[in-house]
Amino acid sequence: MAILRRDHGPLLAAGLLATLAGCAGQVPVPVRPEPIAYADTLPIEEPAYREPLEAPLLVRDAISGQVAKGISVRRLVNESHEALNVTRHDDVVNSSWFEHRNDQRRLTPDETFRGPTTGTGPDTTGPIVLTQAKLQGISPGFHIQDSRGVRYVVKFDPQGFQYLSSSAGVIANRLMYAAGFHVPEDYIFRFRREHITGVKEGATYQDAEFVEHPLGIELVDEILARVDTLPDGRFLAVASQYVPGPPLGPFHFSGTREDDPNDWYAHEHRRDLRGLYVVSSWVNHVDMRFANTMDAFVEPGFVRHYLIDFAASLGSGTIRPHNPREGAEYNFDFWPTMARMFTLGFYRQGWEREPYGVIDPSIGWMQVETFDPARWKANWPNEAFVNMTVRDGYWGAKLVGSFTDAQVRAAVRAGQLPNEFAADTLAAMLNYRRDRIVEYWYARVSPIEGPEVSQKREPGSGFTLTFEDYGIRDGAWASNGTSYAWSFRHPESGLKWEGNAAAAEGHRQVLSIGPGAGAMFADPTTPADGSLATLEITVSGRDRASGRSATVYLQWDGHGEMYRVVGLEH
Amino acid sequence: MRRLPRLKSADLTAALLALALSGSAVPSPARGQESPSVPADSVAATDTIPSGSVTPAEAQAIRDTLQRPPAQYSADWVDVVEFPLKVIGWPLDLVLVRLPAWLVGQITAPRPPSALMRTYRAMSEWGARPTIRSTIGPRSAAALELQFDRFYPFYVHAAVSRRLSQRYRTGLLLNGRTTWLAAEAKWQRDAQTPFYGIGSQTDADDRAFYRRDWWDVAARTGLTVTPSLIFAGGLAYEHNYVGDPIGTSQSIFNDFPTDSLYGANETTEYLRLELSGTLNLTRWRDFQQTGVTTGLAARSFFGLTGTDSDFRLLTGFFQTYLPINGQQMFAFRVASDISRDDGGEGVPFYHLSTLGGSRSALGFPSSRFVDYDMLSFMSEYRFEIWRELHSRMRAETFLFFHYGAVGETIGQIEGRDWHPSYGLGIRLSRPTSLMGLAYLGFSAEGMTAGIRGSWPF
Repeated sequence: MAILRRDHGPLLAAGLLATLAGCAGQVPVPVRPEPIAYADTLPIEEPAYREPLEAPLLVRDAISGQVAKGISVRRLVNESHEALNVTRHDDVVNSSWFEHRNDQRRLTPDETFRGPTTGTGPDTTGPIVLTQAKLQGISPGFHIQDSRGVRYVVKFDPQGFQYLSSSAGVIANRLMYAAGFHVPEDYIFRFRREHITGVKEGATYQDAEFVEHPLGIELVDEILARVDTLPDGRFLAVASQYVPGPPLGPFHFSGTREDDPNDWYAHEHRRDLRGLYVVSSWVNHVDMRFANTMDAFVEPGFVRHYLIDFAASLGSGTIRPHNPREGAEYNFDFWPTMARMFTLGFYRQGWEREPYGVIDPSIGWMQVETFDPARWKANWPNEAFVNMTVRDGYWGAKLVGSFTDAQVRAAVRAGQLPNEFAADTLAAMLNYRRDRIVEYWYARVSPIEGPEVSQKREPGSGFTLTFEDYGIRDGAWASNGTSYAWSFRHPESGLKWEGNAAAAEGHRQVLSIGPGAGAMFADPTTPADGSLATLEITVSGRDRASGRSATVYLQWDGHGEMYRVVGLEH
Repeated sequence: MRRLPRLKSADLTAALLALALSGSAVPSPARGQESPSVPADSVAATDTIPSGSVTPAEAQAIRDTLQRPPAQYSADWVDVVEFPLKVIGWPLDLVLVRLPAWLVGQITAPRPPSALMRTYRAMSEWGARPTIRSTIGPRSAAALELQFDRFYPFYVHAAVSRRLSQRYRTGLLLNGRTTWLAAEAKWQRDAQTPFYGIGSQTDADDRAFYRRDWWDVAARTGLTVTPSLIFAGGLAYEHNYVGDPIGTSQSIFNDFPTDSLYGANETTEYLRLELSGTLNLTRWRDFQQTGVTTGLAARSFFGLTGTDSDFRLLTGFFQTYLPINGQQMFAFRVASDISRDDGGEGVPFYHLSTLGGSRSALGFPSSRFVDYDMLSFMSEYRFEIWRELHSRMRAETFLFFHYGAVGETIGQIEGRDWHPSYGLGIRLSRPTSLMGLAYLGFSAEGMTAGIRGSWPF
């Protein structure tokens, strides 16, 4: 039940809470309940498969969503809603949507290389049968089942651009997995025509008249006739293993799934989905939309939410290389279209002047020097991305910033690109984009993490706070030239301290919080047990503007006579 | 996370009150607080949820007891301010976005073809294809046409429009490598052809209509000298009858002295000789046309039987396309029609030159101005406003300014005979062809609007 104790009149506590509530627009950080890890994995009745029409959603998000965003009062007055599923430490818990991986325990390069895979892909030592035609998407392909009974969706590269979409899909798959999202097992699949020995009994396909026909092996030949071969005569594809459990259809980036009682938070207000914008921008996954997601009913009986099909990532536009427009403008971008109309065509976006040339047929084209982390756009808007706040962006940037060059190289290696030049170039591009993302989003906040009170002193005389500066850790800035302006307030006891400290070498920092010369404070009294205090820390640099301050919430423990960190907000 | 001490009741009340006023309720501390855990595998592992087998019903009971952040935001002052905007915006959103979105969904939804679609496909495969045409004659409006091509190169087409214009034709079309030969017999009814009088100073309010029923039996041939240079020629028999229009009582016979309008009160028969040549040096590239195209067509009419009238019609045009860059371009067109008496009663009024409509002046209705000669200058500025992701389609806005005149001869056209019109529209095109356009045109006489599946330039 209730959680506060006071020594000084009820109104002070109420006032603090009300102030905090007014500032946050919702329940204050140290007071609100915490999300519960895996609470959304409680068993439910199996939902039905559903696949609503995508076209109305795209039209709605592209037009009214964009108009609403442009005239939103909430945006204009900078009162955007923060995500709902956030912990007191400005993070998320593991769930059916996301699991902490690389950001909490850095994966080894080998683990990054393997990603979600548990095997080696379709088994070509035994018969492989065709099970289904691939009716969705624009790349050619089909569904197969190998001799172990494992089923895959097989998709091919466009002619003239071997490795383009298959490698991009696998590399982005590895990076998304390491970042924490649920993805299927994707493999680079090399095979000969003879490996596909037949058609699964009873397999059918629907023609344009929705009439069922028996599926024939000639479908394989028709598709392979349009695919380039490798020098040794084999075919190259990406084989995406079916997700475990019956598929339930895609998930929306807004609302909740009505037949899933575990789906508590509206998707457009989930930190993990909002922050996915930043990870998507890193790997240039412009096709991040409803149709490239999948809900699956997994053991022991809940819905897990997957991201699938990364063929339109990195430099690949699935059936051709990306062009400068992708990542810079929506497929139908309402405001730029209106701007062109009303300026008689003279309005030009930056991408329209961008020089463009395919770097290598196996990696296509991707923005590097002109990459702007805040202006990246998927092909279609979605509500979660539109609702992203600075804090959400920073959270996503932490996922991206956790990757080392070696991990990026390992993920690129999983794509099995045909030459070292392509692999080296792609890795360098990813590293560059990662660094730009980190520089941008970390500078919007004060990226302090893991604050701990490490030393107590006499009540009223201060304490020592240790924390990590992720900006230094992830290379956004150097410790030399970085400083921390801090402001401590403990209303109940009248304590008010302020100070400034230069960063020490390395990313682990120590601040001495206490009364300095000339500090203003009321006649110090012993704080009430359980009373709350706040410590605002602003990271500043010589050559950059300061971001928003981070607020560390502290609670006085009268028994241990020291403060404890109870919350963090960026 | 350590549990926090209890609040005394009075303090609790105050805290609850404060939080209620700020729109939030004091929550209970959640069960089982934890920091984000080390990476877990795919097995659902919790330290707060009971392990072991749990039925969905038991899970629901557990779920109901969970304390976690609320699933909705509390209302705040921004919601209050935005509320009237949402009230205003909701019907607009419904009509301008959600309804079109729903329509798009219905059109694009994969579903078994309806009985109508199956019938259409079956008929088309058999060789009798129904199709919709935006026009089959002057002011015909949209028409439904049945095209029977089962025994191609022999064909039979029958069309009826919304305004009851009709067109029935049958013929033969033989295509060779560089030549073609066509023979066709056609009967056409233009049910509501507008007429405002002859001359450049006619009044829009004087509009009346007439019906023209005409036979046309023709044999034509063509020669493709090069893909850019094409000549054609032909011989035809034409029979015309003019009567009261269909669907309106505003007849030229009531509003005009038709005795002075040759062709109004007479049935005419002509032998027609045709010759034409077109030089097309344009090419499509990435949604834009470049180059020039020009053409000249001459028709000589020789009166037959009781028709005391011989005359010539000459039509010429010149079009050029000047891209500024990949997104912006100009297009220019000059067109002229000349009609000359060669003897007898002269040119029947329905064969005189006209100004108005997509061929010559978009801001005016079709055939607005009539006289022996017509001269028109058409200019457009086109600029891209949207391109489909895979460059399969492009939308352009175009601004047009047209300047045209009619007169007894071109040399006699004076300043007051010129009629400007202007307007704007949107074109939708594929990389090498126009799909359609919609426009709004303005002139001193008002506004015109239309949707077209084709465009002369």
